Amino acid sequence: MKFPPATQRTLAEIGAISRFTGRFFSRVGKPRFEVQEFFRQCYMIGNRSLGLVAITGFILGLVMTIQSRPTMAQFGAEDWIPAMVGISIIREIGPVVIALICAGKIGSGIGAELGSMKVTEQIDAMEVSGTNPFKYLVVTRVWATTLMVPVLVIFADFVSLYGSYLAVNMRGVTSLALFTQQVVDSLVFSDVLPAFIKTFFFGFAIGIIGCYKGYTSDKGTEGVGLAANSAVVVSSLMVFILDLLAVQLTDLLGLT
Amino acid sequence: MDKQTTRNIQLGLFVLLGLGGIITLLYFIGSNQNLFGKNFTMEAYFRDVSGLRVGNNVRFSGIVIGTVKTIEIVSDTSVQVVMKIDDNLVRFLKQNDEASIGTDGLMGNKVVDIEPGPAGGKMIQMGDRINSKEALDMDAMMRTLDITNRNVAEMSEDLKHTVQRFNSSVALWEILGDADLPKYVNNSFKSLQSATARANTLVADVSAMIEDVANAKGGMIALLKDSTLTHDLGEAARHIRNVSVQAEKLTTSLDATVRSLDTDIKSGGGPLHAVLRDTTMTSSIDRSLQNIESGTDRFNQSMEALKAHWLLKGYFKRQAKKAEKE
Repeated sequence: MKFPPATQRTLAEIGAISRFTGRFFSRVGKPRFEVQEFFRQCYMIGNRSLGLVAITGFILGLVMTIQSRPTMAQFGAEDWIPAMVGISIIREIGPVVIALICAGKIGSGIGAELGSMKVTEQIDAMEVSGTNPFKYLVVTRVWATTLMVPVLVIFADFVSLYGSYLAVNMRGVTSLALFTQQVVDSLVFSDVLPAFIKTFFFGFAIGIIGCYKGYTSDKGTEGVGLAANSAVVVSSLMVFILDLLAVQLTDLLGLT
Repeated sequence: MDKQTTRNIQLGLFVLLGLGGIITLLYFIGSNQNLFGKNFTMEAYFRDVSGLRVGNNVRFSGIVIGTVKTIEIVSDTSVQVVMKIDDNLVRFLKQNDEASIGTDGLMGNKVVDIEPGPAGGKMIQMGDRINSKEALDMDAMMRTLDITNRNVAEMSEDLKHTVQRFNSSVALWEILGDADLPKYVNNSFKSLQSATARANTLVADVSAMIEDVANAKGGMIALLKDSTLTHDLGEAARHIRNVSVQAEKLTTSLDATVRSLDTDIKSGGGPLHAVLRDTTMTSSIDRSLQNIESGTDRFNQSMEALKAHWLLKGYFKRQAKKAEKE
């Protein structure tokens, strides 16, 4: 292989992540299932991120609405703002922005947690004590992120639509019933379903990359920071790559 | 470099290539598969491109066949627009096609619309220039619409006055509210219908008559067609008038004569009176006539005597011979 060292490192990283993902899938269907740890992780990942996601979603809806108002006003289509903002948030902006926030919060958290466990040799100790550390640490966390990120995204969608409703009312007067009606009328099944499905993949990518980075960190305490950092970077990038794939697939399947 | 790392590099490469392959594949399947197949260019010159931008679509008969490659101002009155056309669709383009700037929808992006020219145009070649025509100018349309609007407003104003006058008219509403009116109208129409029927038969009769006259070709038609007749008739009428005038004069004079005669007769002057009224005169005339009669008898006797006389016998004999000859 005649690649420059940087490229070699990147390729090796991609290969290692793929291998790690394969390892996850080889373990996921087999007992023993760490159910209690899974619920604990769900609580840690889901519940602890609720506030951050809510604020982000609220501001997102507010800003989107205020930003789009002048352009819509140019066309005299201010009545279409709820529909437009609703579609853009639910189809694209909500899932991607919330996934990025989760990559920042959850990915770095997992990376740092597992990284510190790794460098303090707790993982090795777990293996010695008879617990499968991969199942206990990785599988539960990946499951938790895969299931929690969609929930967080749906929650954030609602909060940001409420923010949008407030922003609409800053300049005009629209009742909440009318706003809801406009948003719901403009949405169709093919708007919601692909956006919902892709959030599972976002969650999975965030979990698996965070776990990989933490699980394979080295170089002592320095490696913990590095693991947390690169977990955020790689999982954010992965969110966009998955988004690209998702949009192409939905387009191809005619779900537009 | 250990074995594990090398295998990771290989796997990473494989994953990366696979991912890139999937994305590219999806891109090609999703797009029209010929977005990179545009090498053919042609150009058109416009006076005004009304906001056309590089990358706007080029449509032929409503189908997107390419994009705008460059837009350059050539002079103050012309803008050159170079278009990239899909290689597969070039064969449908002809040199006499016409380009115009249009809009995608009412508010959408600008597009170059190419319309097929008349049949028989030559195949277009790389870099050819096609004709352009002025697109619909929104401002001009709006100006026309403004005039139309004003006219409509005036018309509606007039209409409003008319309707108001209708509304305020008492007579009209009385007519409209009269329940008996339809009956009357109905009756009127019925009588009109019978009248028409009668008129119809009349016209038929007249037309039959005219036909008879036309077919007869006798004296009547000659009379009708003779143009000198009018003149003659005029003349005759004039004569008749003269005659009647003179007859009148005659009548008056006759009347006067009769009157004077009448007075003469009644007053007893003149010979007529004597003749008609005088009895004595009658008897004297009677006597005179008796005298004349007896005188004539005597004359006849004398004449007979003369004939018998020898002196005059020869003359009478000659006279008799002459009468025999004739």
